Amino acid sequence: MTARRALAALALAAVAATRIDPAYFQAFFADREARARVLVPYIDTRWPRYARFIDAVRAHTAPGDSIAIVTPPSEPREVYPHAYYRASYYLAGREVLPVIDPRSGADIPANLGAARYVAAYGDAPAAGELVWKGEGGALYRR
Amino acid sequence: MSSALLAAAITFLAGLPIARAVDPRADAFAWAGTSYLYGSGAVFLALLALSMLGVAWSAGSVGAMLALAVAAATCLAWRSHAEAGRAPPRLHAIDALTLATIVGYALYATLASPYEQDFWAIWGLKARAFSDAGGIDWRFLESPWNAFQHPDYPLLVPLDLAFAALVNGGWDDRWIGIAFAAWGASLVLVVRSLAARETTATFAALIAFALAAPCFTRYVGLAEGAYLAFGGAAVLFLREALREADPAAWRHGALLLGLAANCKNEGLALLASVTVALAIAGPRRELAARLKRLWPAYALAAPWLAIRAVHALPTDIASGGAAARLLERLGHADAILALLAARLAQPWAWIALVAALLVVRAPVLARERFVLAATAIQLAFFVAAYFTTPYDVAWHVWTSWPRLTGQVAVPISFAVMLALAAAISDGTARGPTTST
Repeated sequence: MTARRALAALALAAVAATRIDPAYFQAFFADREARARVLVPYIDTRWPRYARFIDAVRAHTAPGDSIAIVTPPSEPREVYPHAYYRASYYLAGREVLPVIDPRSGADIPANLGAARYVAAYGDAPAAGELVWKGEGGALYRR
Repeated sequence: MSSALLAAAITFLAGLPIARAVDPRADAFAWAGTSYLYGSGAVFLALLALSMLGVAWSAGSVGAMLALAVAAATCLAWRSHAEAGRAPPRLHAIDALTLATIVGYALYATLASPYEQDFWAIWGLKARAFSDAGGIDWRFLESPWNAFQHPDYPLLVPLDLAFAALVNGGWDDRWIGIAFAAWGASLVLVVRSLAARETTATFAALIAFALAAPCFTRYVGLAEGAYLAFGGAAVLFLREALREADPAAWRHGALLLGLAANCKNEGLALLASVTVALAIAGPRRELAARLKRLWPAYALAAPWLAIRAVHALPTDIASGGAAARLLERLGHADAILALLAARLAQPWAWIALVAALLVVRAPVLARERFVLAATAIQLAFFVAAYFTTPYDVAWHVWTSWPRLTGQVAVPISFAVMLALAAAISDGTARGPTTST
C-alpha cells in the first residue's frame, strides 16, 4: 500500500467516524418516557399549567375570535414572547393578539380593547366578564 | 400513530409512479428514496393548488388531486416501461448499521411531540392554522401580529403536516416525527444508490452508513428535515448528471432542487448556488444546455415567489437598512467569523473533511468542483445573511449556524468520501468524471 493510499484510508476513516452520531443508537436503549418528560418547551417548564390553560381557552372560544394574551405582571417581560407564541399555536384559527410587542417589548394596550376575549394567566388582573376560570388563569369577555 | 403512518404510506405510494416516470431505470433504492420525496412534493402542490383555486381541503378534494397526479405519472411511466432498469445495489453487512441508524432516528424523532420553539412558532403553527382553516389562511399569514412566524417562508413542510392532520381527521402533533424519519431515510437511500454506481459495495455501504446520521435532522418539527433530503438529493443527482450525462439524473436534480426551494428560504439560495456552480463546473460551450436543464427547478420555485409577492409577505433578512447593516458589520468581520468558528457544529467532522481534501489528487478534486463550488457559494450566502440580519448577530449565529452547516454536510462529505475511496482503490473503482 502506497503512502497516499494509506493516508486516504486514514482520511476516509476519520471522515466516517466524525459523521456517525451515536445518539441514534442510544435511542434503542433510552427510557422513552423519561426522555419525553424533559423534551418540553421552555414555557411549559416555567409554567406547567399554561399549555392546559390555553387549551381550555381554545375550548371556550370559536374559530375567528380575537383573544388577547395577558401574563402575570410579576413575571419578567422576556417571558412574554414565549407565552404569546405558545398561545398562538394552541389557539390556531383564532386571532391571537399580544399586549406586549414580542420583538420590541413595548406595551400594546390597544390590543386589550380590540380583543373580544382576554386570556389572563396567573395573577393577571380581571379584564371583563368572566367566562371561565381554571388551570391557573381566567378567560374574560370584553 | 397509525394515522401518521398512513399519511406517510399514502405520500410514498403517490410518489411511486412519479419517481418511476422521472427515472424509469431507477434501482430499487433510488426508486424508494425518491418516491417519498416526490409524494411529499405532490401533496404540497395539490394542497397549494386547491388553496389557490379556493377549494377547501378535504379527503375528497385532496384525494382527487393526488389521484390525477398519480394517473398522469402512471401513464408517463407506462410509456417508458420497456426500458431495462438498473440492478439493485449489492448489499453489504455494513448496511445493517445504516438500517439501525434509520430505525434509531425514527425512535428518536418520535420520543415526544416536537418541542422546538420554531415548530410551534413557525412550521407547526402554520400547519395547524391551515389545517383548522381547511386551506392556506392568508389573513393569518398577512396579519402584522403574526410576523413572528415568518410569513415569507415556503410552505412545503406546513402543507405536508396539514395533510397528515387531514388523514388523521384533526390536528395531532404527537407522531409528526414519522414524516421526518421518512424524509431522512429517503436521502439515505439515494446516497446508497448513487454511491453504488461509482464504487465497490463495501465503500458504498460505508459511505451510506457514515452519512446516514447527517441525512437526518436533530431539529424535529422544523423544515430542516425536508430541506436536507430535497436539497441533498438534488445536489447529488446533479453531480451524477454531470458525471454520467444521465437525463434521468438531470430530471431528478432539477425537480428535487425546485422542491427544496419550497422547503426553506435556504432552498432558494441553493437554487442560486447550484446555478452558479453548474455554470462553472463544465465545458463553457455547453453552459446554456446545462442551465436549461434546470428549468423545472425554477418552474417549481416560481409559484411561491409570485404568491408571496402578491400577498406582500415580508422577508426579515432583507428588511430596511440591510446595506447599512452590512457596511457597519464589515468593520467587525473578524469577530463575526470568530463567532462562526466557535459555533461550528461537529468541528472535527469539518476538520477531517478539509484534511481529506489535501489527500485527494488535484485532478479528482477538480472533477468535484460542482459540489465544492455549490457548497462554498451556499456557505457564503449564509455568512452574508449574518452580515445583513436585522437581529442581534450573536443570537442569530447561536440559533441557526449549527443547523445551516448541517444542511451542506451530506453532498460535500459524499464527494470527498468517494474521492478517497477511489484513491484507496487506486483506479479499481470508477472515479467521477465531468462528461457533460
